[in-house]
Amino acid sequence: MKEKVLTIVFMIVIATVFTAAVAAVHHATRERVRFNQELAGKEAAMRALGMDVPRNASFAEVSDLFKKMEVIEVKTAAGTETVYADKARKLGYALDIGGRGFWENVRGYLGVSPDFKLIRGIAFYQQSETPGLGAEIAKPWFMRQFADKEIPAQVEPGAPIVTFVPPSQETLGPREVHAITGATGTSNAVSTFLNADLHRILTDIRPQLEKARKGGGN
Amino acid sequence: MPGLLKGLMLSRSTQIVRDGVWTNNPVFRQVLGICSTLAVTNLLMNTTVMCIGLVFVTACSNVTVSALRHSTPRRIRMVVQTLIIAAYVIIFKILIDAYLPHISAALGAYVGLIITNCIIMGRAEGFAQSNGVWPSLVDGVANGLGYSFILGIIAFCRELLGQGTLFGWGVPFFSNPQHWRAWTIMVMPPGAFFALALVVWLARRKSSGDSNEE
Repeated sequence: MKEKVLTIVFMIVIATVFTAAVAAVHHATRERVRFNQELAGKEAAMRALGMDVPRNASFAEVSDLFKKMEVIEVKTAAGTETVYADKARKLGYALDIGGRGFWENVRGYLGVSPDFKLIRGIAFYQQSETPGLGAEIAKPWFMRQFADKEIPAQVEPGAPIVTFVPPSQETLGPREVHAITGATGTSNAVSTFLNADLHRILTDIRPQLEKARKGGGN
Repeated sequence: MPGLLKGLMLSRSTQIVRDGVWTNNPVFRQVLGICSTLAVTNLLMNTTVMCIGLVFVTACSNVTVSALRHSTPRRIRMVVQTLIIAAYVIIFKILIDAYLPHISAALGAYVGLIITNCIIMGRAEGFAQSNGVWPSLVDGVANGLGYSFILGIIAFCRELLGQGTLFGWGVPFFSNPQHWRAWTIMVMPPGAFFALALVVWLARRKSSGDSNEE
């Protein structure tokens, strides 16, 4: 009986000690982790607008570049959306995109021109796809494809705005990009959430941003 | 005779190191930690961080298990070991999330999977439970290094042949699609199995040759 009590007490003590240790480390680094997330997001937003951000840029470099940007809060039916834009409004707007990838959630930013007619680019800052296959979505060659793709003025619900075509297709239309060979799952997943986000952006966010632009000297 | 004691201790440590890195190598002798070997060796960068994580966790958990070995009730010792290992892995993950965010993002779920790595549990149960703190530390580091060098060889081959890069940097000839057509199989699980099998076979031959056993 005494042995059983001792065993339980031991277990409780050990569990408490180690849980406390993990919690302490977590607490000590919490701010830094949240900060890193935000930094990664800002880096991606600037890349999506075509700005030249060096690889593995430091906090100082990113902050410096980010001085050219401003933060706009847009109220939508779903809540408040944070949109980044360059102060001069030459580059355009960077909007949050993301969704389920093949393995885990993918997060990134989509850059659009100020008149919403062209895509400036996309940049993913969080993805856990297969290296060499799905993870190619985070490589420059894939993300560069989206630059200067057209956004239609009118969209029918459910119709894709950007279409992913097989890599064997030589020429790309103004709204087409190449999918990744051997990464059908990831390509389909990205196509799904990207188009869903584009629909949402064009329906909910574009009107508000255009109103603000016309409404008066932003 | 402190000199003699120190001499004995040193030679025991050397023996433990040699066992952990070569004669009783966790990957090609004990055949442990195979899942992570297959999963992370597609990229040298991921392999490096995984190996650092493993050395850190194996060393720390061996020391802790050894320090607690007389007070841990026999019946719950494996539960306690798992708890200790999990705690250290989570601490490692939090630290790289904070200080190496780019790498943490690249590794994704693999860091958490260190908890399930058989090597750590194997050493905790097979060595730390019945040995002192210092030998356990040496054993933990040695096994971690043994794992690291085998994974390094496999990752080197897989990344070079499968993507033409090393640590993400293009290698002349291999990264030129006109000279070298990348072996995509090396990026995928079957390639990992083949590479691992070859390395294990070669290492066993060399290690049997060294110790003249059959």
